[in-house]
Amino acid sequence: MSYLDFILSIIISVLTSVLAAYSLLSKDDLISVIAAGLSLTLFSLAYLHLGLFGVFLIQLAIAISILVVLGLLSSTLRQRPTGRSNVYVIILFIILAALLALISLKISASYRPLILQFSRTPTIFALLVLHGFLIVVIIIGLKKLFEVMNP
Amino acid sequence: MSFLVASTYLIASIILVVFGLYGLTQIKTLMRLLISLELLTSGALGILAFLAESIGLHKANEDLVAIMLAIDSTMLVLVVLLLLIMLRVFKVYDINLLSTLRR
Repeated sequence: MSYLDFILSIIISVLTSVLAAYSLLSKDDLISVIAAGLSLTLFSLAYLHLGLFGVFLIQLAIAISILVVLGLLSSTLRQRPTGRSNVYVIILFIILAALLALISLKISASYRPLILQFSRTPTIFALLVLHGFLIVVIIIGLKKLFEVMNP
Repeated sequence: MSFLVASTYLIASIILVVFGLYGLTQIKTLMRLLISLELLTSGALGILAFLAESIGLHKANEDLVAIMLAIDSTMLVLVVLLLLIMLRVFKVYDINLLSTLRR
């Protein structure tokens, strides 16, 4: 652990706290759900930072499921989406997609020896299944998002 | 330095617990209540994991935290089902109105 890790931990902690507070104080249900999902996604990065890889995967899956399930539910409850909230939703989805891409790159970099030994390690299979699950969830979420934006 | 990093995450976990408790006590919408519950659970498990990490129990409780997170996700599904029933059958979104549903 270096000073860079300490600074990274401060950034993750501050962003997690700010997003959690915003999720409780926001007036819009959809924005609130997305802020909570992003907060928990960032919180899962803390587990990855400390090397708790199994806990990281489960926390990430829970964050994504909150984001999608409650997001879809709240979007069906909305009477009329406003233009400003649509901009927030687009920005948050772009951040989430970039975050997931970064996580994928991090996992690929960390597990390069496992990928090279694909036939001998069943662990990589679970990792690939989780990535497939996340991609499907993101596609469903984006499809629903476009439906909400263009009713 | 590892102790400092774990302590920083421990503080973030405590903040999540505080926000979760605030939401549980102050917010009456069921969806916000569910979000507060998730923040509270994640913060509490974070306290457990990062406290063990900061005092040197490296990865000793990883399996325990993983099992508790799985239980948490099951609870999420159950509460979402309850929310859907409330919406479809009773058309009720505010938990204060639930008490009026008693026959």
